[in-house]
Amino acid sequence: MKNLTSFEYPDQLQKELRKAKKLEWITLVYLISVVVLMYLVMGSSQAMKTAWLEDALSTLPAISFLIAYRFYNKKPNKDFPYGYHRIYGIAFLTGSLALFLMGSYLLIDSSMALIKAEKPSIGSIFILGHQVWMGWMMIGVLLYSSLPAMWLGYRKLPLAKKLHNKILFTDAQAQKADWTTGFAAILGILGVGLGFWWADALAAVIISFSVLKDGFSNLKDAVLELMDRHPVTLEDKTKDDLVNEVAQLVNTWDWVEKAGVRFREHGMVYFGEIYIIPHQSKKTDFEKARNQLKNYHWKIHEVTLMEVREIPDYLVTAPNGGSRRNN
Amino acid sequence: MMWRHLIPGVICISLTACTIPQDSSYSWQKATVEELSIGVIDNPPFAYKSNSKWEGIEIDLIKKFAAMYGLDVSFTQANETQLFKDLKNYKYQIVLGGIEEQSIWKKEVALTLAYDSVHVMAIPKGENELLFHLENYLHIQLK
Repeated sequence: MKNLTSFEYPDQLQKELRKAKKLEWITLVYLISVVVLMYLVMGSSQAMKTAWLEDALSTLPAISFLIAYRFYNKKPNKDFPYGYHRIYGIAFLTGSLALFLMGSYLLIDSSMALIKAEKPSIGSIFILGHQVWMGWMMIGVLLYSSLPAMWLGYRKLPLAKKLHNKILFTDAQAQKADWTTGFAAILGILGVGLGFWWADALAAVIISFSVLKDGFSNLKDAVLELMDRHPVTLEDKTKDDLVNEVAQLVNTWDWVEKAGVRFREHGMVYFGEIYIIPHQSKKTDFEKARNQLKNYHWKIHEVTLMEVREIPDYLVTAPNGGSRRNN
Repeated sequence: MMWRHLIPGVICISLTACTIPQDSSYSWQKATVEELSIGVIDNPPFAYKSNSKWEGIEIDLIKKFAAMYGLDVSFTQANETQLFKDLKNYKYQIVLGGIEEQSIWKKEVALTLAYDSVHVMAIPKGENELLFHLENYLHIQLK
């Protein structure tokens, strides 16, 4: 069995992790400024209220990431013998649940505003004696809430992929697409300015849908991960080929007659078991196997090897012949 | 590439910017074409009848406002509940008479800025052009 030690990324990824942490701090400070500014200008606009709550909620992934960052690589102990990797999964689950519930609330709230024909009144602000319609201020704040967010999203996305970090990935994707909600809210405000009261509530409904959609897909993903499904890739959620590779690698050991593997995600890393039926005539070499697995890929964090008489059919098996990769 | 797509949008917004904000139920247009209908709550010293004529702080304010834009004004008195109900149905453009910023009606109608840091005037919700003109005038009175 691989020794459970505190998890450390490979050297090249350590740098990326620090970069991600820095970007999440920047995100948090930036989002707080957005939330305060939006609150100051939102008035009675439903679209602004929805966009404001969406931005307030989008601080959750950054907060979750920064909290989880403090705990994830603590050494396993007698109370937590598997370590603390699942903290990312828990943070992800709570964040998605909040997003899903808020999305549902916003959708109902915005639809009611549309059904009840609530017409938003947007007053003025006086800057150095000049009257400025508050709608223009709202549009300015919405641009501030969208454009830097997009930039942050584009910066975080490649880091999330490299680090196989789900919170960072969903955060980056949501921010990358943030211009769409900002744009919808801007159209809503301009619509109100042109006398179309329904534009505001309609924009709010569209934004609520996007919050609900993100909340649902994240929640589904978080639950499936906690159900110990086969590890999947971040981007297209297809089965991670790394598990097949390990199965193939095991098959290359000459003392192995047949083997089956299974892995589950614990935050950014994989834990799993390898079931082996050894050749009767050959000597088993678990020590060598252990060392080879340890150095195979950083994501393969803990593997239990066991000798069995039968391989259950739900395990991943591989035909003879293996492959290696170096990352 | 993205900027090229944005240019028509920016031009569009710039062209319409001068006409923003507009009312959703044409209150300002009605006030200019027909008359400015005011619902009055009898509440001295803000609005009261003296020798069958309307007088008071807010009556003076609104008369000056109407004069500034060349509008005809009509005053109708009723009880507060009826006035706000009619305001919501666009029977009046403005209801006045010592309404305070924290009025119980504030969720159902739109309130202007406070011309004396406490008292406001009420207009129908969504009438942003009327609100824009009225607030501009009330702000001048604040100075």
